[in-house]
Amino acid sequence: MGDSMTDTELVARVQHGDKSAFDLLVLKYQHRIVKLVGRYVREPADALDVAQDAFIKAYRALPNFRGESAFYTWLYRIAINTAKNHLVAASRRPSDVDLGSNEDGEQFEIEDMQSTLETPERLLLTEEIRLTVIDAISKLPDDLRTAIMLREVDGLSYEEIATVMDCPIGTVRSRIFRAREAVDLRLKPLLED
Amino acid sequence: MNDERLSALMDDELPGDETREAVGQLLAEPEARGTWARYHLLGDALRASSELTAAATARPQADNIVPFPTRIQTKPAPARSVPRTGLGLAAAAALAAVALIVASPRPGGEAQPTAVALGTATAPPAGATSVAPIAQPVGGLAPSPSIEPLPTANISQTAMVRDDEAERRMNVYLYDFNDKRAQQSVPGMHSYVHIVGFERP
Repeated sequence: MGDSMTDTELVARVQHGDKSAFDLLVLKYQHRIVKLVGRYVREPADALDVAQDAFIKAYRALPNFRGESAFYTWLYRIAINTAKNHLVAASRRPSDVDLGSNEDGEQFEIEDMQSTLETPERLLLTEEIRLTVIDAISKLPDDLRTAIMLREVDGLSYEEIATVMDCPIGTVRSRIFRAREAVDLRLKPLLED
Repeated sequence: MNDERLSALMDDELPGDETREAVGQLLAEPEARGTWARYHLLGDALRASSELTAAATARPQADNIVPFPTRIQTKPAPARSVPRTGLGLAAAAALAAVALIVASPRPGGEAQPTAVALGTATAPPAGATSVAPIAQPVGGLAPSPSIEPLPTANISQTAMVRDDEAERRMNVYLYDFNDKRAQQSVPGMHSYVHIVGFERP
């Protein structure tokens, strides 16, 4: 994953005190971080806790982030270290020990972040969400489906997709958007309470 | 905020000066933030399905996948200096066939594996019977002689069927394609072929 200008801009805003910009980074990366942590921590509930802990650590450390690596690379390292520390700590303590002994000053921010992160209840939706998305994708016209798959699954840039699909970059941008819009029509009702 | 602009923003495809402005708009509009979250969820769901596909094809199980019959010998591919050739191969693979086998839960019952055959690059003539696309090996690879064409006369484009023979053929195809892909550093075909009816890894 390359350096993202969008991430850079969001990080800069967090560093200038805009906490809501960090929410957007969490929304963007939470599934990837939970999945990454899940490679180390097998218990799903623990994996969620560790992922949350990793985001909290990242938030606290963000003022010192200098952008020498991409934000995601940096976040990735924090998540892996947090997962490894969790495994070490878990091997030393009896089960069911509460890990949430945070410093007083951080309590408010942590509670804020907990509301943003996935909860186990939300994760239960994942299979339904996945099947809904796959079904919606399967009903897209070929050109939209190919464009969105090349972007989301293969991670190609718009320029590369334009080469593959032999069309202008503007067309790629439009196709990807129309694909997302069509899937979103199915996804949005699913996520509304 | 214009959702097409948001879509390009999340792909990091806006020019630098527009990115700053678009992020400002995104933060100011709660509805745009919701769209941001759902668009990312969409991508996560697609990647998760792709990984299930990869896991299913990488770990053949006796119940689900007939063991790969015969390895097809290929010559090592010459080194490529023009990446566009690889992209062309990916495009050919992407457009060759897209197949989905989705575990569709039935009300009150267990999930039943079903196959959804998706469109092919060439639309069938009007009135003709739609057929499931048959993935053909790319780049000079030939299928094993033991593999007969899949009978397709009774399979409509949206038919929901489980066809072991189709799965076997698709697996053979994927193995072949991945061999070829590894030699040419080309994105994998399996990204487009979803076989997610198997058990979770």
